[in-house]
Amino acid sequence: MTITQATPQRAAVRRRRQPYLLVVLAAIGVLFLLLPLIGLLVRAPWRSVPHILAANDVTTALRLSLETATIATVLALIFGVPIAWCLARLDIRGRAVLRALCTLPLVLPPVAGGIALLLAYGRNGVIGEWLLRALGLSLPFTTPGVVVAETFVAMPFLIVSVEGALRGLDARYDSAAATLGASRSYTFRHVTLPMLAPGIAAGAVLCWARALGEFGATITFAGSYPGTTQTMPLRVYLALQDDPNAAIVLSLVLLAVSVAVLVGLRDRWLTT
Amino acid sequence: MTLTEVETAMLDAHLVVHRGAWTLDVELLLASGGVTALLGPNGAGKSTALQALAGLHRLDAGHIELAGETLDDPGAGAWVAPEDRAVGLVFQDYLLFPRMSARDNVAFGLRARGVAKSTARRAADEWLARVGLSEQAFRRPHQLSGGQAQRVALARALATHPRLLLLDEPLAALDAGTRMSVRTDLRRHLDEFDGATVVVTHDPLDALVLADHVVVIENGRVVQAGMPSDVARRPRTRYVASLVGLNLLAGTARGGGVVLDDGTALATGDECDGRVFVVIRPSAIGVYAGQPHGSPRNSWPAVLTSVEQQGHAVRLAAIGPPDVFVDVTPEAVAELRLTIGSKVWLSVKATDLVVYAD
Amino acid sequence: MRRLLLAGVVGSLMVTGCSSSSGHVSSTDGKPTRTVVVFAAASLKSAFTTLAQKFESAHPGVHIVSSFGGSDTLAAQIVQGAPVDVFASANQTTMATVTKAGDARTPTDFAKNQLEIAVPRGNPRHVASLADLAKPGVKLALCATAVPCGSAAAKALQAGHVAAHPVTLEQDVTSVLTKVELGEVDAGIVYQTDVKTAGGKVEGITFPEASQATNTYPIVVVSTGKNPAGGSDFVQFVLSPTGQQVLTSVGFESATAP
Repeated sequence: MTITQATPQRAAVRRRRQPYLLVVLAAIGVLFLLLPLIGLLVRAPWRSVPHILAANDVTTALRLSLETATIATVLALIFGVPIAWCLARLDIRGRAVLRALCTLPLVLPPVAGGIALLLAYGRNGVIGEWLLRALGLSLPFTTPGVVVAETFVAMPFLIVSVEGALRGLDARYDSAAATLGASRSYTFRHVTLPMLAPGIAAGAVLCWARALGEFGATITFAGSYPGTTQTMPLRVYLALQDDPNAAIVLSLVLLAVSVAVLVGLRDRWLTT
Repeated sequence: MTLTEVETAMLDAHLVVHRGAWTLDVELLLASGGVTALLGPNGAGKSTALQALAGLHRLDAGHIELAGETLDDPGAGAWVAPEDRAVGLVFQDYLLFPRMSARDNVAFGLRARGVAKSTARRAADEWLARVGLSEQAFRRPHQLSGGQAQRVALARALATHPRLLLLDEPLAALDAGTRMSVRTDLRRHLDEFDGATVVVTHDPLDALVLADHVVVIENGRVVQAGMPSDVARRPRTRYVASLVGLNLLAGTARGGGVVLDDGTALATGDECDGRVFVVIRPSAIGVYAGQPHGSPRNSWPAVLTSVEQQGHAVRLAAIGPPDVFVDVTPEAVAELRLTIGSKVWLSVKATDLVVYAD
Repeated sequence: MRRLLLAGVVGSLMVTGCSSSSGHVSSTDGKPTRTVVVFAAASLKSAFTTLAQKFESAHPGVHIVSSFGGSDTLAAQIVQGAPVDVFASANQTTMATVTKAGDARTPTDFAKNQLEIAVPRGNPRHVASLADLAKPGVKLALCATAVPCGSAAAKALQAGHVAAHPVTLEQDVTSVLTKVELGEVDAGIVYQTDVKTAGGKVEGITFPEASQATNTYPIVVVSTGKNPAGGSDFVQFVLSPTGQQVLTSVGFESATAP
């Protein structure tokens, strides 16, 4: 007993030592992420904002961006959730290969993605040629083309997020539901989906943000024309050439919209 | 195995499931209203048996017949999916659906079978009242205590009016204090249930309180079956003996005595013949520093291998042969200065030995 | 954790700059005083690549590093401080951006380029003149007006009184050419040098209004670079008879020509 009594303070300090290294690294990381945003806010030409907004027809590009990103997210949900379910629950051969292919757009440079889209859905594309001849449909240079490009690059985010959430679910809940008399489809609708909701919501938000910011695939596949295919990121890039101040203001608009969406989504919906 | 009373069996099952290292091979015959406990060590196959009965695991051989309907018969190619069986299962960790209220959890089975929402909800309310949880109806599972969650899980399973109720270690997730009251409550609910019940447990007290029939399983096989009190008084395996806290020895009886398998001869005063079990209560064995001379007819030298306080007594593990557990008072330990490695003499009266045929 | 990830994604999207410039900057060989960094308009790619090779063989030990793209993009980068020794743009306006910012003094005109209509092989829509570009059903690609090729095209269309409706306004002339090569559009207005470089992949159609919208290409030594002497040498080389011959061989006109 005497030994511990002699050094109670030393023992107390040792017990309370914080993980300083972790905190320091985290602080540096946060600064790294926040400084560009702070720079944007600090350097913004606040007084010229109304003038720039009026002169640059921001509403057209913004509305186009919001509409296409939202439609792309809806499409990603319709097709991405089933893909995620198959990857997580079905026991098919070559599942790993399928997963790699479905998430390929995540690692593919967007412009390369755009070229690939042209070769598939362009006028002379593998499918595009048939689409044009049989249905008179042409995707490049159209707003639907923008949606296609955005869905292509953003859907993998949703698939990865939902598959992760599905794997995290305890499959025994399905067993419990079965013993209570529920069919597989009833179980999916009333047990699996509600438990999956936060994961789907998080994936959808990620998908929407990615679609909103897409540049390379959009401009390569859909081109750039005001009102039809010129989304906000394209607008910003164009403005950067001759009017950096306009580019800053347009970036601020995008930032404001994104922050509004994030704040509007309550934390409760994104975490289980 | 057969029932002592002649009744139409509610459940007639012969469960055969291959589990890698061993095979589950258990026959169960249950009457309506009867409660059978499946007792056994971990990995004995108890949970597998429940899963097979519920339809979550297919049999490799054998059959399951519930109220005359064949649920599973690999030989005849018959199989009924779990959702179509009149079987209710209460899981060890309850598995209440986390995003639904207690009331919706209980109503789930009815709603899944197409019952209208209002009807199902009213039935759920009745069940919650029966288990005494009306006030928790709108709480989510994570807001319920262990005992409350267990009752909701039970109500959820019973709400669908199953013919067979399966309980997987129903009290394992509760702390010791709650366990007592919940066990008594559970007994009451099981009494009111008119179907057959199977309770899987590793706690002999559960078997004693809840069940009127006990089936002991070890390595997939039934090693003993009977009324709980019989099984407790006359265990047939080491495992059961240790569960009920008795010493179990095996040997051959020959006119007034038993020769144990390890060679020791014991005087028992019983007129048995052939293979027998000998049961000795730990508290019936006396400990002496030297060889005792007195009325006890059976004594042998032993070495202590452990000395542990258990409640008000001290339990000693002694190696003879025969190897036994002995319960003594703390004062005795102090007086005789008993520690690990102490050499002692053990003695037990012939009348304190319980002998029964193998 | 999710919020931080989201913030990071959003943040990086804010300053997204998936540059569509077709050129690439090759790595330096580690000898900064013997490297010359050249920024040149996309339409100069094939000519300047040849010029760089000839210059390097005439000046052993010197390494030319070139970057090609829309002249407006390159000018913006120079104004932001990119370390460049030589800037060759496709028109006066984009060069003015650099000189006005004080990063260069007096540019010299070194070549002229004329516009030409490019159509996919086989000319599926039978385009023959500037007026045909406005025919319904003809998909037309142009450069954005901020790009020299685009402003010249706009001037030419105005001179010909043609009200064209392009389906896309690209960031540089190479992107227009690519779309024509792939057959995604029926016609595009590019430079005659581009048509020549593309070889048989596209067909070219000259039009009289092109002479009213010629682009004169200026070249200048830029002060942000680390090798002004080397830059000056390269500029001289471009203006020399050897350099001019390379330019005319790919279709440029002499700067002094009428």
